[in-house]
Amino acid sequence: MAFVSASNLRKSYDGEPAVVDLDLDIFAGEIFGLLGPNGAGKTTTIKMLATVLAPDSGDAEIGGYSIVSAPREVRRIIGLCPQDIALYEDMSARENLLFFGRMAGLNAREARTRAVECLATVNLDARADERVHRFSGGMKRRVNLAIALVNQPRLLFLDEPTVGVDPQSRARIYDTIRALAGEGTTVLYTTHYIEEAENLCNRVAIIDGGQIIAQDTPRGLHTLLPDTERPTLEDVFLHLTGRTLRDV
Amino acid sequence: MRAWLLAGKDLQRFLRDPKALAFGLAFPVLLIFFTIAVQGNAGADDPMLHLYVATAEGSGLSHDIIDVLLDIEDLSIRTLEPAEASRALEAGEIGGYLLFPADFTEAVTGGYGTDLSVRVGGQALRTRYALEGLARDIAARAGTSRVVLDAGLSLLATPTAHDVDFSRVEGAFRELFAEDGFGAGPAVTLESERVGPILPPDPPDWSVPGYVVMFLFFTAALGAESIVLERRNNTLERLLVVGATRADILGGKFLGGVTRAMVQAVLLWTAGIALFGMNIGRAPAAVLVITAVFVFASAAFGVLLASLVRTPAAAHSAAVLVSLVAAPLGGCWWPLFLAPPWLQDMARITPHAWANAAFLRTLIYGATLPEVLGEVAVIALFGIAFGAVALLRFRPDAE
Repeated sequence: MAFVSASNLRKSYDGEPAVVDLDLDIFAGEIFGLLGPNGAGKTTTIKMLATVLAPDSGDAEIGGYSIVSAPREVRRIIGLCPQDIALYEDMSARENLLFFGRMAGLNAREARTRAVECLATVNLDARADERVHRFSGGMKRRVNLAIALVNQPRLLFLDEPTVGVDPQSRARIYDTIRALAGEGTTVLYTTHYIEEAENLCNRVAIIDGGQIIAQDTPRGLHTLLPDTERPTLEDVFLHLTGRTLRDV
Repeated sequence: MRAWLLAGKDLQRFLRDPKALAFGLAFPVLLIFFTIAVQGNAGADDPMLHLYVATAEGSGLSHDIIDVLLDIEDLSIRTLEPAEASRALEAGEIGGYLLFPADFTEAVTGGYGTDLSVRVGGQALRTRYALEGLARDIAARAGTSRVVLDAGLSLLATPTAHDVDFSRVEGAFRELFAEDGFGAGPAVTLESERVGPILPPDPPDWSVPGYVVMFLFFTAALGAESIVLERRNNTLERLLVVGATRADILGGKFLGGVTRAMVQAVLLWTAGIALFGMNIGRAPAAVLVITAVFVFASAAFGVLLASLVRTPAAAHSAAVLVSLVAAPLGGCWWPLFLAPPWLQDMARITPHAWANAAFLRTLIYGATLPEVLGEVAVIALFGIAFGAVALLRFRPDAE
């Protein structure tokens, strides 16, 4: 049984459809990649599933809770690492984690414990008490990820978490994600880096124009190009979404 | 609970932000200091006004009057020739002078009218009022003397006046024009007595409340910028995902504004009392209540502003504009009673005016809390109105 099950999700902005009748199933402990060009509807999909945006129609169940009728319950079991770095840069890494931990409903002791654990997970425990504005872009991305883990979510949304990150930090983020999935956390991962999706994700969906146009394992998606010798996921992606630039 | 966590985090960030502290705490104290230094001892002086008098008569009644005036202790009368007085006035050396006409004695005794001239420079308001008062007094006494003279002459000319004691009438006339008393003395005289030194209005008592009102509102309004910035940075959205509701976030931002402003208010009042010797009035509780309600209204305005604008720059500009218009309009820079009536009426559209009025009544005129409850209620209504609109409009996410 799917841990995330979305059916007919639809969202428009000022009459412009962003997501159109989206159906999606993600299984527990799976790393599920959502690939798409700019403006394809990836972030809108994640925001609806994370209960930040209300869908115009349709619904999704996460861990058995509806995002429409039980958003509070959904929020208790999810974590979101947004595309933009959403931190208080004039606070230390530890203070950020403590604050978001308390806001997530942890008591002071639990929040302190989780802050230490999450900072260790992203390998920032030695810099825990430095203010975030002194950190490099990669370190900020890791704090961004650590905050998403503070409430021990069963479903983790990672919206392009490695944008602008150095290879060392990126490798650390991959390790963290694999470890979390190994412990049973379900991950919904969006990225522009197709190679990243190919290496990291158990299954990948390609979204364009607000609709999922293909969905399979990375290897399974290769079969969509039977005439191409040793196709890559990028070949498949470009074959399905075209080569027209998407300036949004 | 989440709202308080959010407020605590905002207070922590405020207290460690040097720019916010400089603007919210240090700058107001410095501004109050400079304002008080500039006002100094203004109003404490009580200079004797010198009144200049000239007469175009070679001799006669005007000279008698001037002699009498010169003998009055509380008046500083100085005499000038008409030509010299005119030149000095033109040159700006004197503020003005009173001129007796050449026909003064003839006109007064002959019973036809003449004019006492008061000539003053445009800026010499106090000289003008003093000279006009003096001229009116002389005219009134001359008129009274004329009536008495006419009555005496009529009496003497009456055929049935054979039984009049002419020696008493003559005595009365002599007394009327005696040198030591121009005409008959008035039935009522005014006497002023100075009791102790004249104290100036205490500058801190006037300046501190206005600046407290201005900066509490200014800082709270500028808080809108940080709220919009948080929305831009997606931290508000992130708070939604970790379980905070829209009400938590709105309440937290409002409480953050309230706690920041209360810290600022405590510091500014303490500086006012401890550094500048401000008098807190008879009812410190009233000052506390007015401050708290004004803080409530200001914090609500900050959240309202954040709900109306999209960018941090727009929030900053709007906060500065509204604060700098509302402060003088609402009487933060000068007492509203000095403003024209239409401006006093217009000031009522600002919570500043009501707060300043309440502080003025409490700190200067000694009002107690029940006496300023009307103003307090109006300020609270401003806060409720701001909060209600914010509640309808506020969105934590950047959609």
